[in-house]
Amino acid sequence: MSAVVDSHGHGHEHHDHHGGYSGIMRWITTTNHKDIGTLYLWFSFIMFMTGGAMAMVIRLELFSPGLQWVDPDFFNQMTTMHGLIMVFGAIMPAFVGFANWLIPMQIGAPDMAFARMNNWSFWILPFAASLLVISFFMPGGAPGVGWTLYAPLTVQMGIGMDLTIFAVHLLGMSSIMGSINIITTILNLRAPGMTLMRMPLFCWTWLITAYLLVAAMPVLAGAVTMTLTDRHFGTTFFNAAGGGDPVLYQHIFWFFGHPEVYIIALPAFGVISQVIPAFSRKPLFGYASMVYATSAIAILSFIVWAHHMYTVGMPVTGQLFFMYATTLIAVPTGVKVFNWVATMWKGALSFETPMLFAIGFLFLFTLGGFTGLVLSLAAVDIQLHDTYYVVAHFHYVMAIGAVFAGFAGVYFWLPKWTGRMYDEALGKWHFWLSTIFINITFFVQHFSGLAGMPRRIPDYPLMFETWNKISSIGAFGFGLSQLLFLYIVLKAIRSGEKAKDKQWEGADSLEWTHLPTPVPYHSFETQPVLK
Amino acid sequence: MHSPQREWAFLGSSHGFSLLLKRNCSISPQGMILVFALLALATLGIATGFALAGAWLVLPFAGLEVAALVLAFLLTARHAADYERVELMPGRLCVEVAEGRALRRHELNSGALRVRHAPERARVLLTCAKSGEIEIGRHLDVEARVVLADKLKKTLSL
Repeated sequence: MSAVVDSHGHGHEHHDHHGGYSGIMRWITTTNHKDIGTLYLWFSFIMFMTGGAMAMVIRLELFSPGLQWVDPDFFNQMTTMHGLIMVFGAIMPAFVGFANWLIPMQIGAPDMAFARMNNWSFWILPFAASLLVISFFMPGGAPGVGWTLYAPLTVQMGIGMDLTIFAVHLLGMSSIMGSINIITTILNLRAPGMTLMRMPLFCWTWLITAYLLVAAMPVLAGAVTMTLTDRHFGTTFFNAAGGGDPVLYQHIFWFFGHPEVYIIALPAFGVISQVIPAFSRKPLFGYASMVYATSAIAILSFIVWAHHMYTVGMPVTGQLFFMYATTLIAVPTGVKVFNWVATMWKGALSFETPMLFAIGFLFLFTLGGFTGLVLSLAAVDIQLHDTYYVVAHFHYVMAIGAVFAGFAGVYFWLPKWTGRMYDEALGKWHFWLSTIFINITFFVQHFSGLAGMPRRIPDYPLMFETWNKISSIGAFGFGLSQLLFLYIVLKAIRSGEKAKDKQWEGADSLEWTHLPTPVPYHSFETQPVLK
Repeated sequence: MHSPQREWAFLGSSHGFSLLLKRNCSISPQGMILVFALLALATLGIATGFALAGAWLVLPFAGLEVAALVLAFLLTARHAADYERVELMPGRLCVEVAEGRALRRHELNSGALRVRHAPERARVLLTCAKSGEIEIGRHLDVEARVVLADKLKKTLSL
């Protein structure tokens, strides 16, 4: 016999909201999923601006041929830290922030399954980020080896490399704790009636992402630990002189690294799968196929790693295997793109800022995916490997894809989180400026890459100057546009118009249909029963 | 949005009632074992592959992670199947409390039973001379405990 049916269960305003603490201690001790989500999102924005500032230094140096502003060593440190900070400090935490805010509300749970562990997963991050930044001030500076931390160069770096290794370990720990929490929450705390195949797609994409993280993170931890023991404890895992193999590092790194691409992309797909149906005023087309496509992408991501390594030498059969496996990923990805377009087809579309960013994502991510197909072909990749074509490709996928999905998500849920509406006109300005400048930055890099400009160099022949100048102007514009984003968010929080309970009429997940705006500090303490 | 609604499955007052209070676990402990075992298998399988290729240091990290998974599973599953069953039959109230591996069953004389709230978080206590105090409603939030106590008082007084 059932005990309780409570559709709202948010009558706990009489509780102490913040565990008896206020000010900074409230944020340090909080175990509330909404607080922790907010912390993740602000942290990721700070890291986004930090990594972005490094990108500005890179583009400033590349504005003209010759060495103008920084020496080559520092340039390499900038490219390395830009990559590490953007991947591990900005994009991943941003989507964990979304997960923290949304998963409990979307499945009708009161909080994450392990609330204290949730607090620890976040508070590890600032220490890890500090280690990365402090490495610049160590003798020899930060590592200048590229974000892939390839051996044997890593063995030659100064103490900054050790700090980076420690930071990677901490970031990995945080991710694993977060993943275990997300898996347990989604599987065990769903409200009665919220079957797996009724969950919002955002929850599905995060469930699968958490699996990817759990499977891939020990591999990265092992790789950087072997680098550490090669540096300090006399092992020769990656040193050919001692019987080791530097190519082994590449295999290990990319076995983690390629799933990492989807660790970033899948939650972005989840956000887009919430936004597009809401502004199309239609249910997501092909929900089940979206779930299966996401799973297929996740499984395939583990068998394509060596497409990053065609040039290190491998048997033709190996090249063929990785080439076909990589092109195969286009099938489930194509299913997703088709379903998003089919969702919009004959929908009652409106183009508020979240939808603009979602459509921007759709175009630009697809473009990045297409250049990925080009690069998956071994014969072509051998020509384009380590050129700016590759830089353009992964920035379209990871930078534009993930960041645009992040913006779409922030604009979409900001009214629900804060109870305040953002300035729609400014939001649209942000979208158009970002879209124009990001394409100016990265589209031309296809041309310089096709012409043979290698990546990770501070100087280049005169023939590449025009494309680099254009790219740098685009980068400065994109960087400045993000200050507008900060202003929009702060303005909304301080003086935005009051948002409605269901700000977007097409939104149909529990946070919109069952919770008021802004959401109370405690929600779904008694779980709703879904018919 | 409609207002909060709380419905209790008390059957007709003169014929008694049966109330089952338990945690909402959307997956069974067996299902959770399967999920975590598959994860552990994948993680250890990948690590073993790398160990065979010479990168054995992946293995200890995979082991640590699997240990964390096991711990998480134990923490989740330990009390996943806990429940309280409160049954009113003519002249007696049966309370069955399952907590971890322990199962306690109390039969109380419904005529000599008192329902009261403890001040701390509105705990619902059934008091009778023979069995002392028995707490029920541990799987409910504060608001629901208040409702439960009121309903019980009313039903028992009839």
